[in-house]
Amino acid sequence: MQVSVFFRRSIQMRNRLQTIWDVSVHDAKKHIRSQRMLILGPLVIFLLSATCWGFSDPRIIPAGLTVNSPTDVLFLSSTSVVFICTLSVVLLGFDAISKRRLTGELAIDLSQPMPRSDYAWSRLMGVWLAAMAPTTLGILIGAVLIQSQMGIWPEFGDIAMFIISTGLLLWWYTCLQLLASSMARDIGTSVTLGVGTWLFFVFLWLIPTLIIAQSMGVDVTDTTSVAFDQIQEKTDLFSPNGVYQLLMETRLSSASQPELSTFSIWVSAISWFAIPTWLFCNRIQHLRP
Amino acid sequence: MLELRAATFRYPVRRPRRFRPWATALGPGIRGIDLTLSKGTILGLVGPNGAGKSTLMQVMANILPLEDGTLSVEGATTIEACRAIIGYMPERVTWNGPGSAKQAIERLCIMRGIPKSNGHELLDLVGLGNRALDDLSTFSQGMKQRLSLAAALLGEPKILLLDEPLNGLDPVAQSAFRTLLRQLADQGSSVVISSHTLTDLERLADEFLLMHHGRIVANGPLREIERDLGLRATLEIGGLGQPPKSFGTDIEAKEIPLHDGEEWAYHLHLATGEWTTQRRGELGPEVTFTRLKPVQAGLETVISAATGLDIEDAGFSILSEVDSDA
Repeated sequence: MQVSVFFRRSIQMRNRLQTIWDVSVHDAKKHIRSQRMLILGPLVIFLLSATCWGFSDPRIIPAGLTVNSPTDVLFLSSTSVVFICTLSVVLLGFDAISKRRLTGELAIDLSQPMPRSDYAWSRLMGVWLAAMAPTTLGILIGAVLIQSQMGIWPEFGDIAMFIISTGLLLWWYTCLQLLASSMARDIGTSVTLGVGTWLFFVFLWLIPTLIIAQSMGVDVTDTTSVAFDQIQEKTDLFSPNGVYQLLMETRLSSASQPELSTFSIWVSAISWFAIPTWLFCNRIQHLRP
Repeated sequence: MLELRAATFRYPVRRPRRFRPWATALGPGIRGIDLTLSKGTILGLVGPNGAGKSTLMQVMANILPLEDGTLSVEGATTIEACRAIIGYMPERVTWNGPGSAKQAIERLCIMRGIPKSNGHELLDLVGLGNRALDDLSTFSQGMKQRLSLAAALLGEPKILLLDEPLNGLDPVAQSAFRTLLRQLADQGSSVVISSHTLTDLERLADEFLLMHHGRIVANGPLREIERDLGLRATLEIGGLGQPPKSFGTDIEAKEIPLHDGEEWAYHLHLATGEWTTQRRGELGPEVTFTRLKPVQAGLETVISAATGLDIEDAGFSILSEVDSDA
C-alpha cells in the first residue's frame, strides 16, 4: 500500500518537474528569440571570450596583475560576468512579470491548473536559462582561446566551478529581478528596481563595507590592511557579487585563497539561492493579476 | 456546478499617511455575493464599469482569494482541480510577441497538461488556423480575442468564464461565437459571460445577474427582472403630420424631441401588460407610422430601478466607480 502511494507520488512529482521544465524551455526560447537578445547575446559571448583571450596574453596584461595559470585567467575574466552577464539578466527579466500583467497574459497564466509555486520556478528558470545560454557559450569559447594563447587547457574543475558559480550568480540576479518585476505595477518601476539593485551591488557595495570597517576602527585608507580584507570578505557574504568572487577565489592558489572557510562561503551561496527563490515563490502565491 | 456563498473580496487601495506612506485600506471589490451556477446555463453578468464583474470572474476562476465566504466547484477538492474545470478569458488580452499564436497556445497546453494537438484544433475552431504561425504583434484586436477564446476553451472546461468576449469581434465572428456558446451549453457546460451592455447578451444568456457597486442588485431571466423591478413595457412610435390627440388612459406618453419638420415621435409606457399587436393597432388607425418598435430597457434604467437612484444621479455615481476600481 505504502509502496503504491510512494510510486504514485513519484510519478506526480516527475510530471510536475517535467511541466516546469517544459514551460521553462518554452519561455527561455521566447527570451532567446527576442530582439534584446540579438544585442545582449553577441555582447556577452564577445566580452567573455575577449577577456579570456586578453588576460591569457602576457604582453597585454595590465600592470600589477600576475597571471600564472588558466585558473588565474578565469578568475580575472569573472569581472566581465559581474558587469555584463548580471546586467543581461536584469535586461532580460525586467518585464517578465510586469509586462504579462499589463497585457492580461498573467491572468491567463494564473488561471491554469499548474500550481503557483511550479509557475514561479518555471518563470525563474525561463529567464535564467536564456541568460545562461550565451554566458556558457562565452565561457567555453574563452577556454579554447586560453588554450590557444597559453598552450594549456584550463582544468575541468576550474571550468566547472566557473560555470557553476556564474550559474548561481545569474540565478540570484534572476530572483531579484523577477521579484522586482512582480512588485512593480509598471515596466518603468520594474527597470528602475532591477537596475538600482544591480548598481548597488556592482558599484556601491564598497560604501557599506567602508562604513562598517570605519565604525570598527579599521583604517580604510591602508590598502594593505589585513583587518580590512577580513571585514571585506565578511561583508561580501551579504552581496551576490561578493559571494561569487569568494567562490571563484576558492580555486586560486593558496596565497590568494580567501580567509573565510569554504564551508561558510557555500552556506552563504546556498542562502542566496534559497532566500530570494522562496521570496519570489511566495510573491507569486499571493500575486494578483 | 459552482457555488459562491457570501463571497467578499476587496482590493487594497493606497491610503498614504504622514508616517505610513505605504498604508493601504480595503477599497472596491465584491461584497456578500451569493451565486449558484447550474449545469448548461448561460449566465449574463451585467453592470456598469466598476461594478465588480471582472473581480467576480477572477474570484470564480480562483485567481483572486476570497476575503470572506466560500467557493465550491463540483468535483474539485483542490484549487488546481478547480482551475482545471474552469476556462477563463480575461477582458482584452493584448497578446504580445515575440512568438506565434501556435507557440502561445502550446505553452498553455503544457501548463494544463494536455496534448498540444488540442490547442491546434482550437486555433482552427476560432478561425486562426491559417494565422497560427504569424507573430502575435501582427494580430488585430479581434484576432487576439479569438486567441483568448481558444485559450479559455483548452482542456474542455465544464465552466467557462468570459469577460467582455464580444469586444473587438466582427459581426460574423460574434454570430459564430454565440452559436458556439449555445452548443457548449447544450452539451452541459456552464457559461458566465460579462458585458456592460444588456443588448449584447440579450440573445445569448438564459439568466442575468445585475451588479452594481460590488453587489448583486437583481438576478434571474431578463423579463422577470424587468417585471420585478416594475419596468413598464415601452413602445416607440413616430409619424408625419398631426400626432394622435390621446393614446388612452392606461398609456403614459412622453414626447421625443425631434428637429425634423413634420415628424413627431413618442415613447409610450403601458401601465400594465405587454404591447400586443391589438394594442398597437388601437393607437390610431388613421395615422401613418414611420416608426413603431418596442424599446428594451437600458442598463441605466434597470440599474436606476434596482437601486432606486435617479437616472441622472446614478449615471455620475456609476462613472465615479470607474476611477476608484481602475
